[in-house]
Amino acid sequence: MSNTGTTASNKSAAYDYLIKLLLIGDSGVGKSCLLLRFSEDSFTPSFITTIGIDFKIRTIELEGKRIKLQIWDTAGQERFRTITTAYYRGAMGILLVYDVTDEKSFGNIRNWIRNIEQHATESVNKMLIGNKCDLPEKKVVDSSRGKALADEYGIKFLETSAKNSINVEEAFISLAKDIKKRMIDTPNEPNNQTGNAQLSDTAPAKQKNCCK
Amino acid sequence: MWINPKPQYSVSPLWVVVLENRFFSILRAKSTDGTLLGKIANLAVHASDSHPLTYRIIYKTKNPQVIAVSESLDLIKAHWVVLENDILPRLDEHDWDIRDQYVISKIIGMATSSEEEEADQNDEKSLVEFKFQFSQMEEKLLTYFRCSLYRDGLTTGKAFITQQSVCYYSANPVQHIILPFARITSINKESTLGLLPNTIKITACIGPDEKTEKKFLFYFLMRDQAYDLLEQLWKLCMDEIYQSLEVDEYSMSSPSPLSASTSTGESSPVLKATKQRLDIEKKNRNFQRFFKLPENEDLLSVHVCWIVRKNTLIGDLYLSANFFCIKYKESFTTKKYTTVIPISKIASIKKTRPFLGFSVFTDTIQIVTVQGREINIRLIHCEEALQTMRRYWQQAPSSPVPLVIPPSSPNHSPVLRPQALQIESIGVGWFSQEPGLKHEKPEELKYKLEKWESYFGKHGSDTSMSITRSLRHLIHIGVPDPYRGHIWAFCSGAGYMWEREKGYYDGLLRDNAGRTSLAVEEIEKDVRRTFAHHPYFKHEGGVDALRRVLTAYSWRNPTIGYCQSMNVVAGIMLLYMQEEAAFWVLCRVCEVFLPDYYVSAMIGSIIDQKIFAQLVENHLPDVYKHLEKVGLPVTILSLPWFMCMFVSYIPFPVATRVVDCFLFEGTTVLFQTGLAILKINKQKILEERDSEVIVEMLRNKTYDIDELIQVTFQDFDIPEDQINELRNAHKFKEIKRKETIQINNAKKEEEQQKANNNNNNNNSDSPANLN
Repeated sequence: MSNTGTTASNKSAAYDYLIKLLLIGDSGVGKSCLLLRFSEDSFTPSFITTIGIDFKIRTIELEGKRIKLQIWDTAGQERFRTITTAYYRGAMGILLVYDVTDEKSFGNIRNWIRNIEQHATESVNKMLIGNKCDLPEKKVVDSSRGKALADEYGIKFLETSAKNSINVEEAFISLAKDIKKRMIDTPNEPNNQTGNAQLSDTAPAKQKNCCK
Repeated sequence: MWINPKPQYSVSPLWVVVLENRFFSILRAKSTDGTLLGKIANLAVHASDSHPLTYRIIYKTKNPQVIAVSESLDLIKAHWVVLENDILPRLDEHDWDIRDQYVISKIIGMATSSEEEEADQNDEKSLVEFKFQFSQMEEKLLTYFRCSLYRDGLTTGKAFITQQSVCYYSANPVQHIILPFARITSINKESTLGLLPNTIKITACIGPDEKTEKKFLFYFLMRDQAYDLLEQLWKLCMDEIYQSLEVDEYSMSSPSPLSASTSTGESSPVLKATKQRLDIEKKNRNFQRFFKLPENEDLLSVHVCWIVRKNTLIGDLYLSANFFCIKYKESFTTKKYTTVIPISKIASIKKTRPFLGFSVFTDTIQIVTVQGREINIRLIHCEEALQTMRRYWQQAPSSPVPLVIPPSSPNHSPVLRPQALQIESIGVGWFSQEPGLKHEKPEELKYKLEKWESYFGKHGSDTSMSITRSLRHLIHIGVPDPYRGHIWAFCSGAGYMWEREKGYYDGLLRDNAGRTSLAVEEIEKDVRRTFAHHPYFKHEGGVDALRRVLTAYSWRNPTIGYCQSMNVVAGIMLLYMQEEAAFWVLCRVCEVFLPDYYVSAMIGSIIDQKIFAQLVENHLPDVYKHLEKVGLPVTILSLPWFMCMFVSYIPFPVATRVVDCFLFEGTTVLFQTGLAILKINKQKILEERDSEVIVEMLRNKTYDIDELIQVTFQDFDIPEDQINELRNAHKFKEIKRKETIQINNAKKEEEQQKANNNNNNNNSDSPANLN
């Protein structure tokens, strides 16, 4: 296996590592659509509302390792936070999603970050996503503002379109790479200890324990 | 004292006959010998009914009835004299059923007046005792119950109930125990030793640390009354704490008018509670819940009556301003058998001549419904009831147009629905085109329709329809699509609300037209992603109706506003019924069926998920463990199941069957169905390691609907009381958890402030140091 490039593989195939990702952001920004695009490469404009938590799985190959991504999709409505924040702690990476055509969803990113600070592990990898970039005529949040906000928090930033399949792969895989780098390639750094344990907790027999 | 006649169930060896004639006998409870066993035996006697006194008079009929009780033989003999002089001479004239009516009505009349006297005397005596024994308590005494406490031995005494605490006092040995409601963690009805069925177990954190839980086993002689009151007060107390927490937690958002009025400390409902008020509240609440009436429909009066059908049935007639309700007492079954007659469905009320050779003591009232059904009720105090009925009936505006369309004409108004979307093209019919779903065979549908037609013929089909056991059966085998909307509106109680609040829905929409709010914004995001693939919602008219129903609700109830999943509830209703009916069903679901599910803190949902997880752990421990192991906590599955009544989470035709049962029987159905789904799929779940596959499998599996319904009701008979007890206990924990978080936050803030102050001080000091 080459050490570059990524390929999607069968969902239920054996895997070397399990990475848990979390999608958060306001209601209607397209979290579930992003997930559907990434996991099944399809799109529906009228996805049903996510009640509580939903999740999908996709196994990818990164640098010769099979990585199973378990992606948790959350309800965006404010009142579901009591329920969804309980799952923040298990996440190794979080995608913060806003809608480039919805100013309010962008403004709320700061609230979502505060939520992460309160409920997620400190070392969790984060990424800012401005979705619906296929609608330039309706766009109200300029890319530069997204970039500036991401820089402020020192996190990566991408604009995506679940509808036209723009940057969706890139977003998930780049986040997965960062997590792999943090937790698997250099697992001995002190701030990585908390996340490590979860890598192995649902591992099948074949799976290697990353912190052996 | 005369009492309302109650069946004498106690085993005869515990009673000795003192005096006897053909129709009555005086019984004395066997004396006890002071040993623990003797005491327990005595308690068992007492526990078996709510009148634990030494002497009683029994009316000897098919099912012997206790009609009078007393501690003193002299008093009971005085009652005996009354019986012999006033009642006995007239009994030989009649057959047993008329005799029963006569005796029972007489006794009820005498019991009502004697109850009132007794109550007054008790209050004064017990008040003095309470003040003396608990002189430190400043709270007002509401009432007391005789009871025993098992705690390092059995003692007998009284539980004094105040607004804030239960105070137990026993004289020998002297014991004073105070259990404040705010420290109680659970109240359960239990039957621990079998011999003692009337136990209430209270656990509370009392003592200096307020952390260790202690158990108190009380044997209440009037257990159900005691339980109801304790539960009621405990809930009020919890609500009070909870509301004060809520106001703090959400202080940023403007408090709703409802919570603002109750959270202002001194004027809180608990502090003003009196036993009488609590009783009235409880009575009204039970009345509304039992008949599924609107939440503020107050009970005016109750009358014992006989319903003249094929067999004469004894029952109770409940009167309120808008509904006349009859609850039948089927012999030895507690199965529900009721008729609610909305006054707008009454064509005439009249007093008819007594039947030939029939009772001379009762009159018959005949109610004819607008559908032409005759309901004959025999009453003792006929005039009083008749006057009340006539007064309210005549005041009611007549409604020539039936609001809920009777099922014989299942077509919708073309104004609300485009012609293309007649009932045949909506609902399950369309969803059945999904691959892999079983169509209902035409002959099956025909059979069901015939069954329903026959039921409608016998028991009415509009909102005055009677609810019998055969209705339950019909609902379990599935409501045919053409009747579904009508039956859902009826069973949920939405029909009664609509009946009573004509014009309310349009008024809400009119008064709030053009207004905007957070809820309105949130609704807008969801209206186009609710059953979006269904023809009804592909049509702009369908989306508009959904928007109207949801916004109207957000104006009706700003504490809820809009919660995601209400779109699913309203959406499925719109597929089956008129817009306004869908609105009322949504009201019933949010306010009665799933209380506190959709409020901003979602406390009801959170609690029910915890209860469900606990039930799965108890009933299906291997499934529970496996799901935990594969990283799929069962609550992730069940949260949307419950919030959406399973709609969209299991195949549509299966979900509609669950909704049939849910709206008829209540929340327990959700718990039972959830357990049944896990049980049916147990093997597949246990074999699967991948949580995503489990989720997909449960969602898309082709279920055998009848098997699911059978497992739901036969394998998992979860009593409503059990759910209620668990809800209370979990609510308490949730409140305590919130309280702790707030206290910790407050501490953190304080520390931070101190740290800041120190910093400031240091800063201000530093120049001085430099000098």
